[in-house]
Amino acid sequence: MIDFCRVLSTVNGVKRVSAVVVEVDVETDTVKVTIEGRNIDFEKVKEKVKEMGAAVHSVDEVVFEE
Amino acid sequence: MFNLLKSSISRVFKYSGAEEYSRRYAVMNAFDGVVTVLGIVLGSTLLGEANARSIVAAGIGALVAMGISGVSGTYMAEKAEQERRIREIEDAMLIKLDKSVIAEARGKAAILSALVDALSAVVAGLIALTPYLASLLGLVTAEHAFILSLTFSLSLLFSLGLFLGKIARRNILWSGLKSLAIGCITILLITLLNLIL
Repeated sequence: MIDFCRVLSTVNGVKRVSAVVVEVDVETDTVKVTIEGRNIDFEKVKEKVKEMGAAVHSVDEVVFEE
Repeated sequence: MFNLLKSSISRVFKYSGAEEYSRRYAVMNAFDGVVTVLGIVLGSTLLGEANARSIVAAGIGALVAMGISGVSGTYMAEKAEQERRIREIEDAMLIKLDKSVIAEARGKAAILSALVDALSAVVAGLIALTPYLASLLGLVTAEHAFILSLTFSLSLLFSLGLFLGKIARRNILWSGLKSLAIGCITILLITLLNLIL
């Protein structure tokens, strides 16, 4: 999970990444990831998630501010 | 360069979980390499007319065969297992892992396991064969080569036992002695065969 967060933090615009394990299964772990920053390249985030062998199941909260 | 290689291998193990298998292949095949050469040395010396050249030729032939067999067999077996595991994870996650670090690491893990399999047998066997190579170069006599080869083989078996004991967190000396016993049993059986024949 540490590597996973480290890789996500390298995406343009990302200033902070936090992750909490929500559920542990036989084959998979469900993790809630919170990414904060300005002008986050979300497509790149999805790409990095896929590269790390994970999948984005849902985007639960989005904040836009001036 | 060495640090790069080390971190590369570490990454493969981290994402594939193949460290345990590689360790197993290393020990198993080191045993194979040493005991095979021990058998050739003893068989040639006790049962037949042995000279350093024929022992080295037979030993190297056997080690080459073991290396090729090890690399090809292990690669195919490991590749199949790793692919099976990737499919299982894909089924659980409902995504394809084709371009992920997991798929990459598991592919490399198969190659790494195959190399470990081959190299461990070859290196261990060569250690046991070294005195005869030295004898060919005129550095030691054939008689000394025999004694040295036995000593190297038994020492290597003992060391492998110590290593296994350390991994299992058991009494390492007892583990070493058990491995040494394998070498002694090999010597005993071939000597008995010599008496019968």
